[in-house]
Amino acid sequence: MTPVLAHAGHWYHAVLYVLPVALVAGGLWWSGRREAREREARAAQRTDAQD
Amino acid sequence: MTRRRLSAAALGAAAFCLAVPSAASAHGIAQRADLPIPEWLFAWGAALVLLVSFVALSVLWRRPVLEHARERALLRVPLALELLAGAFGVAAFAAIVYAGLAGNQTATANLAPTAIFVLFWVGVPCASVVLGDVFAAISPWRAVGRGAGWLARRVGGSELPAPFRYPERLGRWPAALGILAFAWIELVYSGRTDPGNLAVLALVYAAVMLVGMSLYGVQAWTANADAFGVAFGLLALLAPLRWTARDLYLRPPLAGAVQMPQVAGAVAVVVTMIGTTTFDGFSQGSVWTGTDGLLQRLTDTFDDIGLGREAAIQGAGTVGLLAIVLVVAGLYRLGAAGMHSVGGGLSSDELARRFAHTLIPIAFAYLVAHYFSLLLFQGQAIIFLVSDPLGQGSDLFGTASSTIDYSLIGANAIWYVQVAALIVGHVGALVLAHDRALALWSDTRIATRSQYWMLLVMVTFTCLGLWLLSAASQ
Repeated sequence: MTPVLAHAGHWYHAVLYVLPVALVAGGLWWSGRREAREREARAAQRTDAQD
Repeated sequence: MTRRRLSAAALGAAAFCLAVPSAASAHGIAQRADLPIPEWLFAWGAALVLLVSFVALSVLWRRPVLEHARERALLRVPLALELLAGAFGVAAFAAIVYAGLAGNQTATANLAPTAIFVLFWVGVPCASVVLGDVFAAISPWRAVGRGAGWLARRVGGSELPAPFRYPERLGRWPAALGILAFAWIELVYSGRTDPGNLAVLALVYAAVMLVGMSLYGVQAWTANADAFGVAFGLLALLAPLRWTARDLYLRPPLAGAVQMPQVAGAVAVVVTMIGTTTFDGFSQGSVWTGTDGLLQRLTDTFDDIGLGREAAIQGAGTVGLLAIVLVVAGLYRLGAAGMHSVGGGLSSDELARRFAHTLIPIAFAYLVAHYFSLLLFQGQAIIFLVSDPLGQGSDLFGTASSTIDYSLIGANAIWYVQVAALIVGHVGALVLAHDRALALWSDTRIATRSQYWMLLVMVTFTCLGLWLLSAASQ
């Protein structure tokens, strides 16, 4: 067993408190990416319409 | 900084804060028993509450409200009240200092330590959030400074020289350093339980305040350089009451926070308030105090370079205290940098200053969460300490024989209060941040997107606070 896993009893508890932060960060990152893609798509549509 | 690097840095900082073993008793008095759900699930619940609040704010709160909130005059304040409050503050200060110098040097038997660390440092902030800036009225050095100024004007007339102009660049940095110094005395200094030391330090602080006020004027000095005046004044901005020299006003709760001056050092003050409370919790846990904990390792390092054992322990505590304050500052700066990334032309520094008031409810939430049980239980000691302030067997008010009632509230109820304080404080911070964003960005979509970052900061602070508290029962 690696030293990290051997000491899992010490740190797994804290991971449970990190997870909500990681989930919110991941959700916001995904949401930001989706908004950016939508903006690019709208910009592309406007360019096509002008052409 | 790119968004990806910002995201990685934010996650890294959050992980650094949280991914270490259990820590902190956070002044818990008793062990909790049989909570209906595991403690970590409270953190998940709190994060969900913040997420739902964020969505609700985005949908329902479409224009800045707090920025333009109105207050209404409630009543005229008689001059006698100000004089009485000032006299009370001076008398209480004199009694505490005298007890510290002349009384029994056992911390629990002397009035000074409990009066300073519990009633003053925890009780006054709680009163400020409900009643407004009570410390401005009872501050002993402010009362003496104003009294001396009045006397000097009566005697000297118009020949008195005007005070120096307070340096703008200095701003509130002296107050931030003062809060850090007080926290160092409370949490690191080896002589912190010695009433005599506390009394001497209180006299030194009062002397510095009097010299500063005589040089720069009472108002300018107390508004910027008096650590306690500034800290308690900030918390009072959350209160529904605002006091002026002769009037009392009523305003919506939180609305006062938007008035926080954006001067130099303003961010440092609130960050230091949060960071020092965080270190208080952290420093009582196994990561810090364990057999191979950070305290031991740092102490050994300082020992190896030739410091004595006591100085080495204090050196380790100093490093820990500064490190935690810097981590809290770093988290907030990441939030500001994230907001900067959405555009709008404001620099990260400017955004950090403009949103600094959103940290005030968090500072209060941390204070309640960490010190609620201390105030509730050790605060009762004041009842017998006022009757026997020197700890020498007197019974001035007939209450010397009273004791602390530890059955006043159960450990589970304390936990619920702590969780509620953290959630309410962080939701309040979200509300303030959302309102300020709407005022700064005319485009509602950009304003909402900028607050993704503040939401992440709030969720991180909430989970950090709950982790520190939960570790108390490990």
